[in-house]
Amino acid sequence: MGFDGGIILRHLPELSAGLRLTLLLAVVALLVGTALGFFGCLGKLLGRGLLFWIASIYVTVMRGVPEMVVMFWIYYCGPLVLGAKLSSFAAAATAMSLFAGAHLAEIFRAGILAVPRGQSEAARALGLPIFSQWVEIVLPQALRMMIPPFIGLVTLVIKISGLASAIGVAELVYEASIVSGQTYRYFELFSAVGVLYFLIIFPLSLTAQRYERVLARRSR
Amino acid sequence: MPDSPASRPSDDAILCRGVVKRYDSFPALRGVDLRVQRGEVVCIVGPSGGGKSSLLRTLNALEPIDGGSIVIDGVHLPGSRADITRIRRDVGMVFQSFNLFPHMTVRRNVALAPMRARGMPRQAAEARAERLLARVGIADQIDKYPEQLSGGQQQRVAIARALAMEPRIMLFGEPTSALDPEMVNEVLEAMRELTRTGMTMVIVTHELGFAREVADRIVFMAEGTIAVDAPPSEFFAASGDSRLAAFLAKVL
Repeated sequence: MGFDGGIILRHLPELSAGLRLTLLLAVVALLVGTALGFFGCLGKLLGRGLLFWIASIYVTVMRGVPEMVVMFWIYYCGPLVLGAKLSSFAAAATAMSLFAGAHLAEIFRAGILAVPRGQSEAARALGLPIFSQWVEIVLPQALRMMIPPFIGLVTLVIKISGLASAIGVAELVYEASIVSGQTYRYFELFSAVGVLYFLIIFPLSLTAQRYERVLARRSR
Repeated sequence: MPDSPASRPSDDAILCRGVVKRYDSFPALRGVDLRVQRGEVVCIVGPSGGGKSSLLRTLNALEPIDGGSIVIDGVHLPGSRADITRIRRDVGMVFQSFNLFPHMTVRRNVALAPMRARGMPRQAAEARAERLLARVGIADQIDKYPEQLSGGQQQRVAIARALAMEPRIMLFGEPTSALDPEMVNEVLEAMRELTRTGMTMVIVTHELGFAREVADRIVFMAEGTIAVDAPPSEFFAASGDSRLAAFLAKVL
């Protein structure tokens, strides 16, 4: 049983449809997750009382429960708890957004806390308005430090999007299993899927690495 | 004087009465009384952990106080947010670790505060930055970033940055302690020049020779209190306080 590259080419339409859905899932999860992460970070850094606890519980729970369990839970238990059944895509996107949001909240928070205390002290000592302290002094420095872990999370979100196949989202892994189930060509199809993921993720990792080196040089 | 008498009570630039500061339960300041008149240069010396830095940081409300009162140029602490902002804009501060903004050029570091905190147009603020940087001897570094400068140069930029707000009081927190020895003098020289302009200055320092030279008074702090407060001529002769004697024996 040799490797038949032709099978990949013949099923390229299915694979590219799957890839499109994989990327769509990742983009939605990162966009919604960025908003969730923003509020989660704000709640943990500046929140008092209830807001702080909501943010902390959200972040802790979502980082402590396997992604797949969250996805299954939303898809299968959602109807019981919320009284509404989400489509498999909506359930997967929700679970991935919650996952990304919790991790981004921590990435944002770590970035802000990594800005030396002396920076905000100098800004305050100069009498800069609070808006300027944040927007001109703290955040530009924090954002730079957030870039490598942010890219890391982007690659992670793309990788876990494959889990959505388990609840029937026709993304890359799902399409590959359907096609290989019909053709018994697991070898070719899952090799192709691996290469596709790698081609997306590897350049991102390279960018993060390169940027980390820039940061290391800057901080002397 | 058109103001009410309460707002301009005296010639005091700084008046501390019974200032108490605790970190958790540790008392960093246990009732500090300090008076600095306009135009005076006061150096604060003493062993680490004695409360020097804590005191300095309470003077522009970087640390809120837990007891007593502080009057800076007629404004009382503890005070409202507006009072605190007013004090910070009128009191310049230079830190041991420079704390320049690393993502901005030297020019921008110096020009930013007058623009944002005083609403000064950019051109005027940058012109002021150029003037002040020339005054501290680093006009040629104006377009560089802080990381491209030596420690001594960075600290002189920090002095210029504080002066750009045209403060009436300058606070220095061990400004030469993080510097390599060969760079200490250029920073001290910039400060020396400032003392000649009649600026009110409070300087926390380990440079006793410098303190003796520029200070009107030297204050010795230990264990959260002011143990000795005397003109230089008397300070080094003061043998009344055993902690000062021990300190001088160690550093001289």
